Amino acid sequence: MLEYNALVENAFMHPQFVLPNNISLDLLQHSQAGARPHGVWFALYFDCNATKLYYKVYGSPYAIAAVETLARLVADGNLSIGQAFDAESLRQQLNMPYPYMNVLIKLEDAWMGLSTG
Amino acid sequence: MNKTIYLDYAATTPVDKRVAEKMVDCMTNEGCFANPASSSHHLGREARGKVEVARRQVSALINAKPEEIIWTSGATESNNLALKGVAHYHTKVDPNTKQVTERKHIVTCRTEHKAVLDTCKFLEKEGYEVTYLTPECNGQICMQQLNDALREDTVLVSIMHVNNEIGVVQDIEAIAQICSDRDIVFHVDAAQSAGKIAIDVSKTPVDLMSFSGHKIYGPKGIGVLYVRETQRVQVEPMIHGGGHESGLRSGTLATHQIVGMGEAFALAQAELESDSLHISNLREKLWSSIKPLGGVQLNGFDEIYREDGKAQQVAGILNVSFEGIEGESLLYALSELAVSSGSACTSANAEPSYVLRALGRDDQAAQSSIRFSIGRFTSESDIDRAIEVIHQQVKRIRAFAA
Repeated sequence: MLEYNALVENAFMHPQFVLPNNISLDLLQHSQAGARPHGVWFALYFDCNATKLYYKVYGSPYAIAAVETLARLVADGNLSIGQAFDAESLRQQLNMPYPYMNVLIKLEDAWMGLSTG
Repeated sequence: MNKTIYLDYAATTPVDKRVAEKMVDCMTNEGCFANPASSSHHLGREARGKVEVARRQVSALINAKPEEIIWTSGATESNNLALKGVAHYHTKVDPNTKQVTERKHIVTCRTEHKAVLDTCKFLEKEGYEVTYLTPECNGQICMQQLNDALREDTVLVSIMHVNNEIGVVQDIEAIAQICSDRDIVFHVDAAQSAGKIAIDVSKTPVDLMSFSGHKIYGPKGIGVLYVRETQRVQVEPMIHGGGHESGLRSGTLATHQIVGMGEAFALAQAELESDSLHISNLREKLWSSIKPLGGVQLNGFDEIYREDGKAQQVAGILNVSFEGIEGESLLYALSELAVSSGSACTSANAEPSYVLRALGRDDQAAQSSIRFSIGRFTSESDIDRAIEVIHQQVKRIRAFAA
């Protein structure tokens, strides 16, 4: 098992934006990317005001930490729909090894799906 | 942070305090530190005496003759010595082409430990041909498949007694009989079975058997190769320099390690029954508490014994696949527990377990498998806490994707 940094640990152990099961999906803009058999899958959901990003995720601690960090950026007003996120900066923040880059590629796909949807 | 609960006894065991005490007696100036090969003085002869006591202790657990016990550095070396030693002794290499020309065929199984598989790969490069049997989905080898794989030029069959990842027991009595009938040398990697299952080489015609000290509450860095004393079983040494161990394994004997391994085997023999009962009870409690989570698959047998009373599973290894959770996340979520995902030696590698893949499990099931291995010092409260953590974390991580 890899050693994870504090940001990954916090996002993994204390996620704040996992989509609650009691939210009506009709009110949400939705996009997904990846596939569980391939080891990583993201489903992203924006609320009607596009101020909160919720998600479902299947994947490694890096996948969970990456999408949680993205959701926190949105909640803090540091990222909004239609805006590209800096994948390399996110990789560095999470100290994510390069072999995990497919996680960020799938996350970008899902994010772009929301932006263009 | 909570105390880490050690459930990785199949990777290694702590040294039993009773073993450690015996070892310390052989290390310092006040103790029995002399070179066991120094027969010219009393101190050397005393060390030699301790080595021979340990040899008898190891041989007693498997009902072998003491002179059939060869000290090595561990099961990996024992496996190397068995496979390369037999292959090299029994075959001829053409001096011109450098190719193996006689009895060049070896049979093993895809679920063997890397110590055997990598040695087989090495021998393939030398020109040997290796057949890798695919086990049935329960992990056991089909005797018909084994029979079909044997050839006129088969020199060796190497099959492990207990699989290190799933704990499934192979029917070595049946395999030994097949090999014996065909005059083929049979090697067994018994690193995971010693002290867990009764072994009697006087009744089972196994020719070579590998053991490790650290899997049985002894020290790391010491092992044994049992070599049956018969004309049929000849082994070419790998390490030269002094002719120790009947010329099969040169090098100064590590008295303290050997004494530790001997004591560990003696304790295992004395406590086999009580250890087995203790571990079986804890396994039952753990598995019966994991099952209600749903979406879990046991890799191995639920029942320890077959209907005829033969062991088909060691109780100490419980390998479970958890549906709906990615393997790395599962391992991280369970970080309060010292467990393994796949075999301990390859846990840094995210590749799905080759053992579970060989059993026909898909990548997801193989990747989301956890090996819980229980031992002599696991307490009931350890298992209670493990159950609590597993329930809490499996539900939490599954909710990410549900």
